[in-house]
Amino acid sequence: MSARLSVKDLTVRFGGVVAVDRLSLDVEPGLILGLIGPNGAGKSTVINAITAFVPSTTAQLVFEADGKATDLGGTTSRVRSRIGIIRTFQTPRLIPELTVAQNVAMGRISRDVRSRWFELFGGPALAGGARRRLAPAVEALAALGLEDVAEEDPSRLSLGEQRLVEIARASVSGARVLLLDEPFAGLSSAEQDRLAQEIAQLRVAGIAILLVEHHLEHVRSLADTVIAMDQGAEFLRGGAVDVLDSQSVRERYLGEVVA
Amino acid sequence: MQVTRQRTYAIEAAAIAAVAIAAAVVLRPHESQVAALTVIFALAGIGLNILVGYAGLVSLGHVVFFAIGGYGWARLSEIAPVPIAFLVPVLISLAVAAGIVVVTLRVAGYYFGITTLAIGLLSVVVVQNAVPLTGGHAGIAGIQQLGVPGFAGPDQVLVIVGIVLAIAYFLQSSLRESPLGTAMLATRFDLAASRSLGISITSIKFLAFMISAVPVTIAGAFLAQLVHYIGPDQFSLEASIKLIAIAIIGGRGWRWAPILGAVVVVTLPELLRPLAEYRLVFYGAALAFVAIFMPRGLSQLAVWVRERFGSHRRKAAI
Repeated sequence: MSARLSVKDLTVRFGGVVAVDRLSLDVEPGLILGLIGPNGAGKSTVINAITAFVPSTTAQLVFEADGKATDLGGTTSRVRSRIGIIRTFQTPRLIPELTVAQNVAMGRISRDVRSRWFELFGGPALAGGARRRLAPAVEALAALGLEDVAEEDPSRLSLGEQRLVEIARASVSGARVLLLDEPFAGLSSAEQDRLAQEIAQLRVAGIAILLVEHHLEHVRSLADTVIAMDQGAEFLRGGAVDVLDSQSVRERYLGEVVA
Repeated sequence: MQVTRQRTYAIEAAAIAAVAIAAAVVLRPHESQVAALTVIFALAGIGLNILVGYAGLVSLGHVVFFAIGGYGWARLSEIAPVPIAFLVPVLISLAVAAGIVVVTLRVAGYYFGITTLAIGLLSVVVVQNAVPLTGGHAGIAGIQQLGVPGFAGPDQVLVIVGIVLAIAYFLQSSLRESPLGTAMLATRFDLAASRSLGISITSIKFLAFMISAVPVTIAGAFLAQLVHYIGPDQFSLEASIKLIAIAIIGGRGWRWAPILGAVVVVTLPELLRPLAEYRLVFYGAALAFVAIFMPRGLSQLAVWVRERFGSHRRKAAI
């Protein structure tokens, strides 16, 4: 079950701009790696590069699971997703015209398309099967307090709820490495609490988590290790509390002048 | 929830078949002719609804499957049993569809539409020149209809196509709830999310194109039966536009789109026969109106009615 992702010397160039500069990181099972930095530091680009949404160069991009190491260099988003590297987006990307529960079930869609293709023929007998197929999705929604909206159109949800639905989708996906791109942004404080709980549970379940986040109080309480970035490069790495309380982070990131 | 939805589709499908049969009983022959034509285009529209409405692909070349179904029936029904005369053209269509997708695999968006337009136009040229098979410009006349005891002429076509449409309607609606259908919708609305979910966009496109060819092929066979004739003029660009217009005016992806779209695109112009020469103007105006004021087609009217008069329980038109 447990899997680790090891990235060495990740570099992303957009024309002449070096968006990410030789960043190395390990996302470890059952641990949360926080990635912080001011806007434009390259945090989201790291996630985009790891999921092959933007081209990048790496000295090493290795996914290790069940005692087997897989070199992911040059593979597509789809391959990386199917191996268990699942991401969320800063702007929630839910599919309109599907119900919320169906959106959550999309987390397993590539497997369901193959194993449950016969559902396309419909029929009352298969309808029970469809309900069973959606059950984990409804459960995941319930864990986030969203069971009431399972049959809603996702566009009727608040931004915060949409983000939680994306988390639910990631949690049913069988993710082994989870890359969260500012999951707390735009959430009410109650929603933030539920999300923090959910992330902590995913961590206990042995999932390796990379958390890109601006809400530093959540990074502080959730992350084990934190990397601070600025202008594409790492400038500090260490235990969450050490990094967040360090003078250089407070100066560069929070713009605080420390006397 | 899922169970009741499936049940709803089954009841609606039964109602569609019942209405078609009742229409065959009640209507006078020339009215049945128009009704049968509408139902045939609704059946073809189901293919386009899956392609355009679920997978978000626009094909201007689906007449090629219409033609395969029509000519296939015309030739095979003389020499082979009925199931063969339907099945063989469907298999040919699947092979052609696979070929088209392989060729157009890397062509996205509008370019895909243009490529399929070329394929549609090419198919007309092929039909015109493969004289031994298709009769060339003259076409094939005297095509036999599938008989239904107790009915005659267009009535029997209306009864059979009505039942086939009901089955296709149920399958179309069930597909939308299935993993494959939801994956198609994902590729229509959000390619980035689809990739991040591990969906193979290429195979989904491939399957959507293949599936969409089937109802169009069967509709082509019934069209040949209804008018006892098949010729290249039935597979013009106008026919391709008609098929697309049905799905778009009806409301891409909505389960009633093929039927309501066919009523607007086929029945209305037939009723306005005196204005026949202006049909293309009518399609153009209707498409422009829908594009500007009703991007979700007639399904928007359904949403409006439901929100105005119905329960507020649920959601979009679908």
